[in-house]
Amino acid sequence: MSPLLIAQIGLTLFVFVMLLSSAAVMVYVERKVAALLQQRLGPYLVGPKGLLQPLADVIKLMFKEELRPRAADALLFALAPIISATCAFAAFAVVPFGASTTFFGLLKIPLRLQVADVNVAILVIFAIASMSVYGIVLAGWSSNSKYSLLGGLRSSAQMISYELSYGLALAAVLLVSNSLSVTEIVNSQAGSWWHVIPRWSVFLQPVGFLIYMTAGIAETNRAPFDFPEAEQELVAGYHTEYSSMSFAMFFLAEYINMVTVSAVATDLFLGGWHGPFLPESLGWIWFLVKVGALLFFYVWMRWTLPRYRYDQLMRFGWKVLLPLSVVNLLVTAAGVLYFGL
Amino acid sequence: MQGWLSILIMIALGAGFALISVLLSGVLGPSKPSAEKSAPYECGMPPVGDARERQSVKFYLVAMIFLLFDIEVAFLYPWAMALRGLGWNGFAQVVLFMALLLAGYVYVWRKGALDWGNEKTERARKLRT
Repeated sequence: MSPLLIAQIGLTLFVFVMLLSSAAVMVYVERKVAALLQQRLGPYLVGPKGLLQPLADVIKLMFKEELRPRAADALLFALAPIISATCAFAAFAVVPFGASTTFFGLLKIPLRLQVADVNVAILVIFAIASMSVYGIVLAGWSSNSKYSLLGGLRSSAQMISYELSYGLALAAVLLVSNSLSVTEIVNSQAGSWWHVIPRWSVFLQPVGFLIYMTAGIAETNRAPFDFPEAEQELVAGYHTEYSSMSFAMFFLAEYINMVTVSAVATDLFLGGWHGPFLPESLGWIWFLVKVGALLFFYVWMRWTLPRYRYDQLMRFGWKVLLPLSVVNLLVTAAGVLYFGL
Repeated sequence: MQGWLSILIMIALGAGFALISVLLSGVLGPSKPSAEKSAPYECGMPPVGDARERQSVKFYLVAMIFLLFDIEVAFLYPWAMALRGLGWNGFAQVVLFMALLLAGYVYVWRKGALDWGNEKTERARKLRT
Protein backbone atom coordinates (compact mmCIF):
# COMPACT_ATOMS: atom_id res chain seq x y z
CA MET A 1 0.00 0.00 0.00
CA SER A 2 1.33 3.36 -0.95
CA PRO A 3 1.64 6.03 1.78
CA LEU A 4 -0.82 8.18 -0.13
CA LEU A 5 -3.48 5.49 0.00
CA ILE A 6 -2.91 4.98 3.73
CA ALA A 7 -3.14 8.73 4.26
CA GLN A 8 -6.36 8.80 2.23
CA ILE A 9 -7.93 6.03 4.31
CA GLY A 10 -6.73 7.71 7.50
CA LEU A 11 -8.30 10.94 6.33
CA THR A 12 -11.60 9.17 5.61
CA LEU A 13 -11.63 7.75 9.14
CA PHE A 14 -10.71 11.17 10.53
CA VAL A 15 -13.60 12.85 8.68
CA PHE A 16 -15.96 10.14 9.90
CA VAL A 17 -14.96 10.70 13.53
CA MET A 18 -15.10 14.47 13.08
CA LEU A 19 -18.64 14.22 11.68
CA LEU A 20 -19.70 12.13 14.67
CA SER A 21 -18.21 14.63 17.08
CA SER A 22 -19.67 17.55 15.16
CA ALA A 23 -23.12 16.06 15.75
CA ALA A 24 -22.33 15.75 19.48
CA VAL A 25 -21.01 19.31 19.61
CA MET A 26 -24.11 20.55 17.79
CA VAL A 27 -26.38 18.90 20.36
CA TYR A 28 -24.50 20.77 23.08
CA VAL A 29 -24.32 24.06 21.16
CA GLU A 30 -28.01 23.94 20.34
CA ARG A 31 -28.98 23.51 23.98
CA LYS A 32 -26.51 26.12 25.20
CA VAL A 33 -27.53 28.70 22.57
CA ALA A 34 -31.20 28.02 23.28
CA ALA A 35 -30.49 28.59 26.96
CA LEU A 36 -28.61 31.80 26.15
CA LEU A 37 -31.49 33.14 24.08
CA GLN A 38 -34.01 32.23 26.76
CA GLN A 39 -31.85 33.45 29.68
CA ARG A 40 -31.42 29.99 31.16
CA LEU A 41 -28.28 28.05 32.06
CA GLY A 42 -28.76 25.05 29.82
CA PRO A 43 -26.90 21.80 30.55
CA TYR A 44 -24.29 22.39 33.27
CA LEU A 45 -24.17 19.33 35.49
CA VAL A 46 -22.42 16.65 33.41
CA GLY A 47 -18.75 17.53 33.07
CA PRO A 48 -17.27 21.02 33.07
CA LYS A 49 -19.96 23.47 31.93
CA GLY A 50 -22.08 20.51 30.87
CA LEU A 51 -19.69 19.61 28.03
CA LEU A 52 -20.18 15.87 28.51
CA GLN A 53 -23.97 16.15 28.17
CA PRO A 54 -24.11 14.67 24.61
CA LEU A 55 -22.06 11.67 25.78
CA ALA A 56 -24.42 11.14 28.71
CA ASP A 57 -27.36 11.36 26.30
CA VAL A 58 -25.87 8.67 24.06
CA ILE A 59 -25.22 6.34 27.00
CA LYS A 60 -28.75 6.88 28.26
CA LEU A 61 -30.26 6.19 24.84
CA MET A 62 -28.09 3.10 24.46
CA PHE A 63 -29.68 1.53 27.54
CA LYS A 64 -33.26 2.32 26.56
CA GLU A 65 -35.74 -0.25 25.35
CA GLU A 66 -36.25 -0.63 21.60
CA LEU A 67 -39.97 -0.23 20.96
CA ARG A 68 -41.78 -1.14 17.77
CA PRO A 69 -45.50 -0.80 17.15
CA ARG A 70 -47.25 -4.12 16.65
CA ALA A 71 -48.44 -3.46 13.12
CA ALA A 72 -45.20 -1.87 11.93
CA ASP A 73 -43.25 -3.24 8.99
CA ALA A 74 -40.29 -4.71 10.90
CA LEU A 75 -37.68 -4.61 8.12
CA LEU A 76 -38.38 -1.10 6.87
CA PHE A 77 -38.82 0.15 10.41
CA ALA A 78 -35.32 -1.02 11.27
CA LEU A 79 -33.85 0.12 7.96
CA ALA A 80 -35.11 3.71 7.95
CA PRO A 81 -32.82 5.21 10.62
CA ILE A 82 -29.82 3.42 9.10
CA ILE A 83 -30.59 4.88 5.66
CA SER A 84 -30.90 8.34 7.17
CA ALA A 85 -27.57 8.13 8.97
CA THR A 86 -25.74 6.59 6.00
CA CYS A 87 -26.91 9.30 3.58
CA ALA A 88 -25.83 11.97 6.04
CA PHE A 89 -22.31 10.57 6.24
CA ALA A 90 -22.01 9.93 2.52
CA ALA A 91 -22.99 13.46 1.53
CA PHE A 92 -20.02 14.97 3.33
CA ALA A 93 -17.58 12.69 1.50
CA VAL A 94 -17.17 15.02 -1.48
CA VAL A 95 -16.93 18.27 0.49
CA PRO A 96 -13.36 19.61 0.64
CA PHE A 97 -12.43 21.43 3.84
CA GLY A 98 -8.93 22.71 3.26
CA ALA A 99 -6.16 23.25 0.72
CA SER A 100 -3.75 20.42 -0.06
CA THR A 101 -1.22 19.59 2.61
CA THR A 102 1.84 17.31 2.86
CA PHE A 103 1.38 16.89 6.64
CA PHE A 104 4.58 18.81 7.42
CA GLY A 105 6.58 17.03 4.72
CA LEU A 106 5.53 13.47 5.61
CA LEU A 107 4.10 12.81 2.14
CA LYS A 108 5.83 13.18 -1.21
CA ILE A 109 2.70 14.33 -3.01
CA PRO A 110 0.41 16.80 -1.23
CA LEU A 111 -2.90 15.33 -0.12
CA ARG A 112 -6.11 17.19 -0.62
CA LEU A 113 -8.12 17.70 2.56
CA GLN A 114 -11.24 15.98 1.32
CA VAL A 115 -12.47 12.43 1.51
CA ALA A 116 -13.16 11.92 -2.17
CA ASP A 117 -11.88 14.06 -4.99
CA VAL A 118 -14.35 13.37 -7.76
CA ASN A 119 -14.82 15.71 -10.70
CA VAL A 120 -18.63 15.70 -10.45
CA ALA A 121 -18.83 16.50 -6.75
CA ILE A 122 -21.81 18.84 -7.14
CA LEU A 123 -23.83 16.08 -8.76
CA VAL A 124 -22.92 13.67 -5.96
CA ILE A 125 -24.07 16.19 -3.33
CA PHE A 126 -27.31 16.75 -5.22
CA ALA A 127 -27.90 13.00 -5.62
CA ILE A 128 -27.25 12.07 -2.00
CA ALA A 129 -29.33 15.01 -0.77
CA SER A 130 -32.24 13.52 -2.73
CA MET A 131 -31.59 10.08 -1.25
CA SER A 132 -32.08 11.25 2.31
CA VAL A 133 -35.82 11.60 1.64
CA TYR A 134 -36.04 7.80 1.65
CA GLY A 135 -35.10 7.41 5.30
CA ILE A 136 -37.84 9.80 6.36
CA VAL A 137 -40.54 8.43 4.06
CA LEU A 138 -39.83 4.84 5.08
CA ALA A 139 -39.80 5.78 8.77
CA GLY A 140 -43.15 7.52 8.41
CA TRP A 141 -44.78 4.76 6.45
CA SER A 142 -43.41 1.71 8.25
CA SER A 143 -44.37 2.89 11.77
CA ASN A 144 -48.07 2.43 11.01
CA SER A 145 -48.87 5.35 13.25
CA LYS A 146 -51.01 8.27 12.12
CA TYR A 147 -48.60 10.94 13.33
CA SER A 148 -45.63 9.24 11.72
CA LEU A 149 -47.41 8.84 8.41
CA LEU A 150 -48.55 12.45 8.32
CA GLY A 151 -45.06 13.60 9.28
CA GLY A 152 -43.45 11.44 6.61
CA LEU A 153 -45.86 12.61 3.89
CA ARG A 154 -45.43 16.26 4.75
CA SER A 155 -41.71 15.88 4.98
CA SER A 156 -41.33 14.18 1.62
CA ALA A 157 -43.50 16.80 -0.11
CA GLN A 158 -41.51 19.57 1.57
CA MET A 159 -38.12 18.12 0.75
CA ILE A 160 -38.83 17.45 -2.91
CA SER A 161 -40.43 20.88 -3.33
CA TYR A 162 -37.38 22.70 -2.02
CA GLU A 163 -34.95 20.42 -3.79
CA LEU A 164 -35.79 22.12 -7.10
CA SER A 165 -34.73 25.53 -5.84
CA TYR A 166 -31.70 23.94 -4.15
CA GLY A 167 -30.60 22.39 -7.46
CA LEU A 168 -31.21 25.59 -9.44
CA ALA A 169 -29.18 27.63 -6.93
CA LEU A 170 -26.32 25.14 -7.33
CA ALA A 171 -26.59 25.42 -11.14
CA ALA A 172 -26.20 29.21 -10.90
CA VAL A 173 -22.94 28.75 -8.96
CA LEU A 174 -21.72 26.33 -11.63
CA LEU A 175 -22.33 29.02 -14.24
CA VAL A 176 -20.25 31.57 -12.36
CA SER A 177 -17.32 29.31 -11.52
CA ASN A 178 -17.49 27.02 -14.58
CA SER A 179 -16.63 23.77 -12.83
CA LEU A 180 -18.37 20.77 -11.27
CA SER A 181 -15.51 20.09 -8.86
CA VAL A 182 -15.95 21.78 -5.49
CA THR A 183 -12.19 22.20 -5.07
CA GLU A 184 -11.97 24.16 -8.31
CA ILE A 185 -15.01 26.24 -7.37
CA VAL A 186 -13.30 27.17 -4.09
CA ASN A 187 -10.02 27.99 -5.83
CA SER A 188 -11.83 30.23 -8.29
CA GLN A 189 -12.83 32.36 -5.29
CA ALA A 190 -9.27 33.09 -4.15
CA GLY A 191 -8.03 36.68 -4.03
CA SER A 192 -10.02 39.87 -3.85
CA TRP A 193 -11.45 42.66 -5.96
CA TRP A 194 -9.55 45.96 -5.57
CA HIS A 195 -7.83 44.43 -2.50
CA VAL A 196 -10.97 45.06 -0.41
CA ILE A 197 -13.80 42.68 -1.27
CA PRO A 198 -12.94 38.96 -1.26
CA ARG A 199 -13.83 37.22 -4.52
CA TRP A 200 -16.52 35.10 -2.91
CA SER A 201 -19.39 33.86 -5.03
CA VAL A 202 -21.85 35.29 -2.55
CA PHE A 203 -21.12 38.76 -3.98
CA LEU A 204 -21.85 37.53 -7.50
CA GLN A 205 -24.76 35.37 -6.38
CA PRO A 206 -26.47 37.14 -3.44
CA VAL A 207 -29.93 35.90 -4.46
CA GLY A 208 -28.53 32.43 -5.13
CA PHE A 209 -27.03 32.31 -1.64
CA LEU A 210 -30.36 33.26 -0.05
CA ILE A 211 -32.20 30.66 -2.13
CA TYR A 212 -29.60 28.03 -1.26
CA MET A 213 -29.79 28.71 2.46
CA THR A 214 -33.61 28.80 2.50
CA ALA A 215 -33.83 25.56 0.56
CA GLY A 216 -31.05 24.05 2.68
CA ILE A 217 -32.93 24.81 5.89
CA ALA A 218 -36.08 23.29 4.40
CA GLU A 219 -34.11 20.24 3.21
CA THR A 220 -32.71 19.62 6.68
CA ASN A 221 -36.17 20.08 8.24
CA ARG A 222 -35.08 22.83 10.58
CA ALA A 223 -37.12 25.70 11.99
CA PRO A 224 -38.86 27.70 10.64
CA PHE A 225 -39.53 24.79 8.25
CA ASP A 226 -39.53 21.95 10.79
CA PHE A 227 -42.88 20.49 9.72
CA PRO A 228 -41.92 16.83 9.77
CA GLU A 229 -41.62 17.05 13.53
CA ALA A 230 -43.99 19.90 14.31
CA GLU A 231 -44.35 19.01 17.98
CA GLN A 232 -47.58 20.87 18.57
CA GLU A 233 -49.39 19.16 15.69
CA LEU A 234 -47.69 15.84 15.06
CA VAL A 235 -46.11 14.82 18.41
CA ALA A 236 -42.73 14.13 16.80
CA GLY A 237 -43.62 13.54 13.15
CA TYR A 238 -41.90 10.69 11.34
CA HIS A 239 -39.91 9.50 14.37
CA THR A 240 -42.83 9.41 16.82
CA GLU A 241 -42.56 5.64 17.25
CA TYR A 242 -38.77 5.45 17.44
CA SER A 243 -36.87 5.01 20.66
CA SER A 244 -33.39 4.18 21.83
CA MET A 245 -30.51 4.36 19.33
CA SER A 246 -32.78 4.27 16.25
CA PHE A 247 -34.16 7.57 17.48
CA ALA A 248 -30.64 8.87 18.02
CA MET A 249 -29.75 7.99 14.40
CA PHE A 250 -32.38 10.43 13.09
CA PHE A 251 -30.95 13.18 15.25
CA LEU A 252 -27.42 12.32 14.22
CA ALA A 253 -28.51 12.50 10.58
CA GLU A 254 -30.22 15.86 11.12
CA TYR A 255 -27.16 17.45 12.69
CA ILE A 256 -24.73 16.02 10.15
CA ASN A 257 -26.99 17.24 7.33
CA MET A 258 -26.87 20.70 8.87
CA VAL A 259 -23.08 20.55 8.95
CA THR A 260 -23.02 19.40 5.31
CA VAL A 261 -25.35 22.15 4.12
CA SER A 262 -23.24 24.74 5.96
CA ALA A 263 -19.99 23.27 4.62
CA VAL A 264 -21.28 23.24 1.04
CA ALA A 265 -22.52 26.82 1.43
CA THR A 266 -19.07 27.80 2.72
CA ASP A 267 -17.33 26.11 -0.20
CA LEU A 268 -19.63 27.38 -2.93
CA PHE A 269 -20.52 30.87 -1.73
CA LEU A 270 -18.19 32.00 1.07
CA GLY A 271 -14.80 31.21 -0.43
CA GLY A 272 -14.17 27.95 1.43
CA TRP A 273 -10.78 27.99 3.13
CA HIS A 274 -9.66 31.28 1.58
CA GLY A 275 -9.35 34.17 3.97
CA PRO A 276 -6.94 36.90 5.02
CA PHE A 277 -4.13 36.68 7.63
CA LEU A 278 -3.60 32.91 7.41
CA PRO A 279 -1.38 30.92 5.01
CA GLU A 280 -3.27 28.54 2.75
CA SER A 281 -2.04 25.47 4.65
CA LEU A 282 -3.95 26.75 7.69
CA GLY A 283 -7.02 27.57 5.60
CA TRP A 284 -9.09 24.94 7.39
CA ILE A 285 -9.29 27.34 10.34
CA TRP A 286 -11.16 29.82 8.14
CA PHE A 287 -13.31 26.96 6.92
CA LEU A 288 -14.25 25.96 10.47
CA VAL A 289 -14.97 29.59 11.40
CA LYS A 290 -17.31 30.05 8.45
CA VAL A 291 -19.12 26.73 8.97
CA GLY A 292 -19.44 27.52 12.67
CA ALA A 293 -20.97 30.90 11.91
CA LEU A 294 -23.53 29.33 9.57
CA LEU A 295 -24.38 26.64 12.13
CA PHE A 296 -24.84 29.27 14.81
CA PHE A 297 -27.17 31.06 12.41
CA TYR A 298 -29.14 27.82 12.03
CA VAL A 299 -29.61 27.47 15.80
CA TRP A 300 -30.32 31.16 16.23
CA MET A 301 -33.09 30.92 13.60
CA ARG A 302 -34.66 27.95 15.32
CA TRP A 303 -35.07 29.71 18.65
CA THR A 304 -36.12 33.03 17.14
CA LEU A 305 -38.62 32.39 14.36
CA PRO A 306 -42.03 30.77 14.76
CA ARG A 307 -42.91 27.88 12.48
CA TYR A 308 -44.64 28.59 9.17
CA ARG A 309 -47.99 27.08 8.35
CA TYR A 310 -47.79 24.11 6.01
CA ASP A 311 -49.76 25.77 3.21
CA GLN A 312 -47.54 28.84 3.53
CA LEU A 313 -44.48 26.64 3.18
CA MET A 314 -45.71 24.92 0.03
CA ARG A 315 -46.95 28.18 -1.49
CA PHE A 316 -43.61 29.85 -0.80
CA GLY A 317 -41.63 26.94 -2.23
CA TRP A 318 -43.59 26.52 -5.45
CA LYS A 319 -44.88 30.01 -6.18
CA VAL A 320 -42.04 32.24 -4.94
CA LEU A 321 -38.79 30.35 -4.53
CA LEU A 322 -38.96 28.24 -7.70
CA PRO A 323 -39.71 31.13 -10.13
CA LEU A 324 -37.14 33.25 -8.31
CA SER A 325 -34.41 30.63 -8.71
CA VAL A 326 -35.20 30.18 -12.42
CA VAL A 327 -34.98 33.96 -12.95
CA ASN A 328 -31.76 34.02 -10.92
CA LEU A 329 -30.29 31.31 -13.13
CA LEU A 330 -31.23 33.05 -16.39
CA VAL A 331 -29.98 36.45 -15.17
CA THR A 332 -26.72 34.81 -14.08
CA ALA A 333 -26.34 33.14 -17.47
CA ALA A 334 -26.96 36.44 -19.27
CA GLY A 335 -24.49 38.17 -16.94
CA VAL A 336 -21.80 35.54 -17.51
CA LEU A 337 -22.16 35.90 -21.28
CA TYR A 338 -22.43 39.71 -21.27
CA PHE A 339 -19.49 40.42 -18.98
CA GLY A 340 -17.51 37.42 -20.22
CA LEU A 341 -16.69 36.20 -16.68
CA MET B 1 -11.15 5.77 -9.14
CA GLN B 2 -9.65 6.43 -5.73
CA GLY B 3 -12.22 9.14 -5.13
CA TRP B 4 -15.16 6.81 -5.59
CA LEU B 5 -13.50 4.19 -3.38
CA SER B 6 -13.36 6.74 -0.56
CA ILE B 7 -17.05 7.50 -0.99
CA LEU B 8 -17.79 3.78 -0.73
CA ILE B 9 -15.66 3.53 2.42
CA MET B 10 -17.57 6.47 3.88
CA ILE B 11 -20.93 4.85 3.07
CA ALA B 12 -19.75 1.57 4.62
CA LEU B 13 -18.53 3.38 7.75
CA GLY B 14 -21.81 5.25 8.10
CA ALA B 15 -23.98 2.17 7.58
CA GLY B 16 -21.77 0.05 9.83
CA PHE B 17 -21.82 2.59 12.63
CA ALA B 18 -25.61 2.97 12.45
CA LEU B 19 -26.16 -0.80 12.31
CA ILE B 20 -23.82 -1.54 15.20
CA SER B 21 -25.21 1.13 17.49
CA VAL B 22 -28.79 0.06 16.81
CA LEU B 23 -27.92 -3.60 17.41
CA LEU B 24 -25.93 -2.72 20.51
CA SER B 25 -28.82 -0.85 22.07
CA GLY B 26 -31.02 -3.84 21.25
CA VAL B 27 -28.64 -6.01 23.29
CA LEU B 28 -28.02 -3.56 26.12
CA GLY B 29 -31.52 -2.20 26.55
CA PRO B 30 -34.26 -4.03 28.43
CA SER B 31 -37.00 -5.82 26.54
CA LYS B 32 -40.31 -6.05 28.36
CA PRO B 33 -42.96 -5.71 25.68
CA SER B 34 -46.58 -5.19 26.63
CA ALA B 35 -49.75 -4.53 24.67
CA GLU B 36 -49.74 -0.85 25.60
CA LYS B 37 -46.10 -0.35 24.68
CA SER B 38 -46.45 -1.89 21.26
CA ALA B 39 -49.55 0.10 20.34
CA PRO B 40 -49.04 3.12 18.08
CA TYR B 41 -48.90 6.41 19.98
CA GLU B 42 -52.16 8.31 19.90
CA CYS B 43 -51.81 10.70 22.82
CA GLY B 44 -52.87 8.15 25.42
CA MET B 45 -56.13 7.17 23.75
CA PRO B 46 -56.69 3.62 22.45
CA PRO B 47 -55.60 3.65 18.79
CA VAL B 48 -58.44 3.93 16.27
CA GLY B 49 -58.26 2.00 13.03
CA ASP B 50 -55.28 1.58 10.74
CA ALA B 51 -52.90 4.45 9.98
CA ARG B 52 -52.49 3.56 6.31
CA GLU B 53 -55.67 5.09 5.09
CA ARG B 54 -56.26 7.21 2.03
CA GLN B 55 -54.25 10.40 2.06
CA SER B 56 -54.75 13.66 0.25
CA VAL B 57 -54.09 13.37 -3.49
CA LYS B 58 -52.13 16.62 -3.26
CA PHE B 59 -49.03 14.77 -2.14
CA TYR B 60 -49.07 12.59 -5.26
CA LEU B 61 -49.56 15.65 -7.46
CA VAL B 62 -46.58 17.35 -5.86
CA ALA B 63 -44.47 14.25 -6.43
CA MET B 64 -45.44 14.12 -10.11
CA ILE B 65 -44.79 17.81 -10.74
CA PHE B 66 -41.49 17.47 -8.90
CA LEU B 67 -40.37 14.70 -11.25
CA LEU B 68 -40.93 16.91 -14.31
CA PHE B 69 -39.11 19.92 -12.88
CA ASP B 70 -36.30 17.89 -11.34
CA ILE B 71 -35.43 16.39 -14.72
CA GLU B 72 -35.35 19.93 -16.07
CA VAL B 73 -32.87 20.88 -13.34
CA ALA B 74 -30.73 17.87 -14.23
CA PHE B 75 -30.73 19.03 -17.88
CA LEU B 76 -29.49 22.44 -16.83
CA TYR B 77 -26.27 21.18 -15.21
CA PRO B 78 -24.50 20.21 -18.46
CA TRP B 79 -25.85 23.36 -20.06
CA ALA B 80 -24.40 25.46 -17.23
CA MET B 81 -21.01 23.84 -17.80
CA ALA B 82 -21.07 24.36 -21.56
CA LEU B 83 -22.59 27.85 -21.66
CA ARG B 84 -19.31 29.67 -22.39
CA GLY B 85 -18.84 27.54 -25.51
CA LEU B 86 -22.47 27.77 -26.59
CA GLY B 87 -22.68 31.55 -26.28
CA TRP B 88 -25.87 33.56 -26.79
CA ASN B 89 -27.21 30.84 -29.07
CA GLY B 90 -27.27 28.34 -26.22
CA PHE B 91 -28.75 30.95 -23.91
CA ALA B 92 -31.62 31.61 -26.33
CA GLN B 93 -32.32 27.88 -26.58
CA VAL B 94 -32.60 27.51 -22.82
CA VAL B 95 -34.85 30.56 -22.64
CA LEU B 96 -37.09 28.85 -25.20
CA PHE B 97 -36.96 25.62 -23.16
CA MET B 98 -37.90 27.57 -20.06
CA ALA B 99 -40.76 29.26 -21.91
CA LEU B 100 -42.16 25.84 -22.86
CA LEU B 101 -41.87 24.73 -19.24
CA LEU B 102 -43.46 27.97 -18.13
CA ALA B 103 -46.57 27.05 -20.11
CA GLY B 104 -46.80 23.81 -18.10
CA TYR B 105 -46.09 25.65 -14.87
CA VAL B 106 -48.86 28.19 -15.55
CA TYR B 107 -51.24 25.35 -16.44
CA VAL B 108 -50.47 23.52 -13.20
CA TRP B 109 -50.83 26.73 -11.22
CA ARG B 110 -54.18 27.63 -12.85
CA LYS B 111 -55.44 24.07 -12.34
CA GLY B 112 -54.87 24.58 -8.63
CA ALA B 113 -52.33 21.77 -8.21
CA LEU B 114 -50.05 24.13 -6.29
CA ASP B 115 -52.83 25.34 -4.00
CA TRP B 116 -52.76 24.37 -0.35
CA GLY B 117 -55.11 25.26 2.46
CA ASN B 118 -57.93 27.65 1.66
CA GLU B 119 -56.45 28.83 -1.66
CA LYS B 120 -58.45 26.25 -3.54
CA THR B 121 -61.85 27.23 -2.18
CA GLU B 122 -61.04 30.87 -2.81
CA ARG B 123 -60.10 30.12 -6.40
CA ALA B 124 -63.38 28.26 -6.89
CA ARG B 125 -65.32 31.14 -5.37
CA LYS B 126 -63.59 33.64 -7.64
CA LEU B 127 -64.50 31.55 -10.69
CA ARG B 128 -68.16 31.45 -9.67
CA THR B 129 -68.53 35.19 -9.18
